[in-house]
Amino acid sequence: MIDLLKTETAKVLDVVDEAPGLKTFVLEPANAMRFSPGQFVFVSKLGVGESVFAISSDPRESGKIAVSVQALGKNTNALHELDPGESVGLRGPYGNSFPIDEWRGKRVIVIGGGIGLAPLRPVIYSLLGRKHEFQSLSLIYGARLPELLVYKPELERWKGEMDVHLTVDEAKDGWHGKVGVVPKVMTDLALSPENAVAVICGPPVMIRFGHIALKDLGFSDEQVYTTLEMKMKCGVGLCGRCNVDHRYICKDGPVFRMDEINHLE
Amino acid sequence: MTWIVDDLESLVKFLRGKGTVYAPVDSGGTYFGELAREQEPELDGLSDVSARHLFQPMTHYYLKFEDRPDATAGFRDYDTAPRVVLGMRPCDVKGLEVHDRVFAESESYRKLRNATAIVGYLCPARDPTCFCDSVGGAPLSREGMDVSFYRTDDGKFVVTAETDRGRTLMQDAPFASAAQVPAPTFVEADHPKLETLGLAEFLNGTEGSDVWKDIGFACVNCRVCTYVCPTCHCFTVTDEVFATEGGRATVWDSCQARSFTKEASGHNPRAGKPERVRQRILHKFNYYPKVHGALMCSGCGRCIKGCPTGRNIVEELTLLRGGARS
Repeated sequence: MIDLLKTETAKVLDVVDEAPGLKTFVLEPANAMRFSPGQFVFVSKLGVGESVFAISSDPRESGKIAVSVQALGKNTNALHELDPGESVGLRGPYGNSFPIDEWRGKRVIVIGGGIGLAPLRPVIYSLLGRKHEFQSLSLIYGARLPELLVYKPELERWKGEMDVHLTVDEAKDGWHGKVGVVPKVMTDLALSPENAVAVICGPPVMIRFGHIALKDLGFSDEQVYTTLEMKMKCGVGLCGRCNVDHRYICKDGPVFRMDEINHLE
Repeated sequence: MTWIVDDLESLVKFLRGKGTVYAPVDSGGTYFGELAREQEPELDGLSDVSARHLFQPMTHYYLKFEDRPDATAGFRDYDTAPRVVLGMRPCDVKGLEVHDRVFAESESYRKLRNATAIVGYLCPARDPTCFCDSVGGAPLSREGMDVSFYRTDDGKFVVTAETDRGRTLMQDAPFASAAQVPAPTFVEADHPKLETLGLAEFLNGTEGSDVWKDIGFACVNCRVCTYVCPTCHCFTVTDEVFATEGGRATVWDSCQARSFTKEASGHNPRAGKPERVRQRILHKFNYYPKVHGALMCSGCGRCIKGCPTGRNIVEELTLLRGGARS
């Protein structure tokens, strides 16, 4: 299977500090890479290791992709040392993508928590790029603390282009947005399921309670999409670890409609 | 085409001219190793370890660099010089069907497979822990073998070319061809029996069963069951750096290891033994069948023989069925 793991190279174009311990790397792949919102890539430094990241950039931008990296382990800490101009290993894109075409004419509600906004950012870029095709677009996004909200310049810009609700679990001086966990904000906003689609990504606990909140609001599982994450090593459905039931998240996912996975733990 | 060969030595000598010969060799335990000069294959009993490593190397550096980690590392494919694997049993060959399905999209795997002729040995006797006939195999099955052979009562060997590759391999064989040969015999004995009718479907409802706790109780996380298995194929990808070289390798891994699914954040979806033993058993008897329409077990029984705490997958599946029913 080794031929399926061949790695290309990419040049680091830009490094953006998003939040403490969290940076976005804008990469220029040696071979042009086209991707759809929801797909992921492996980024590596040879001799250190490969790690998997959701692509967080605008799919309409050709010639570059971005990944947002939280420094947690050996590989991600090594990536955080990268400066513009340096080279990394890159392979992908892998996985399925959000079926945005199927959402035409609907009210699309994007719900994110913390770094869970990374795989949703390409969705938002795509939705805004064809805004007229949807009845309405909303974003509900939260983090534990104000400084942990990512993509701040985009959040400001999006406020003018869609319905944006920001929240933090714990407010600090200077915070003027909502306070409370994302599922609470969803409930407070009394989101209507009528002609709506909800797309949710965040920490497992947020997805769980967000899903419960959506159900209570009257959303059926067919109206809710999420993207799952698990440790991955190959990305092509072979290494055996990212399965939930018989489905490999890397190959059959990472994007699922809730009714496809709600019977699983 | 069938030949009578007087002794194993002659067959081995002939096959050595066709490529590197691998066969079960005794090294404290038996495993498939490169057959050294003058070395006799160990054909008695099932080898302790399957031939999996010949089709999925335990460790393979597919990117390798010398001196400096940032040096440009080229892709290193598998060594695909011609090989002959002698003495794989019907269960080993059937196990390879799993690798053929799972790695079907890999050109590297296909090349390695095509460079290999399988000279399979029909089972002379039942191993106390094997159960191939419960899972769709048979001790005398020639399925998947390029060449088959078995020992006759008078100590000779009946060798038959089964496929085109086998016929090509044997085309200049210096042996006496035979029209009439004694049929292979098989000495039966007590062995585990597994009811597989409806098993995959039955297991659909067992993810939350408490029986996984009972099954996991005796497990000591040693992973032997997954390393001796001819159908297991999970691996990891790792970067290693040594004094003068380093690279990125695929290495066998095991779903029975705690670290297998542990994420950098510390979160582990299969943190406990019940979840891990469930993954192994359901992968073989439920998940894989859902995708491929076949069981991921060839009944070799090595996992039963190798388990240091006496776990037995046949008993466990039976327990699961009975336990979950009551």
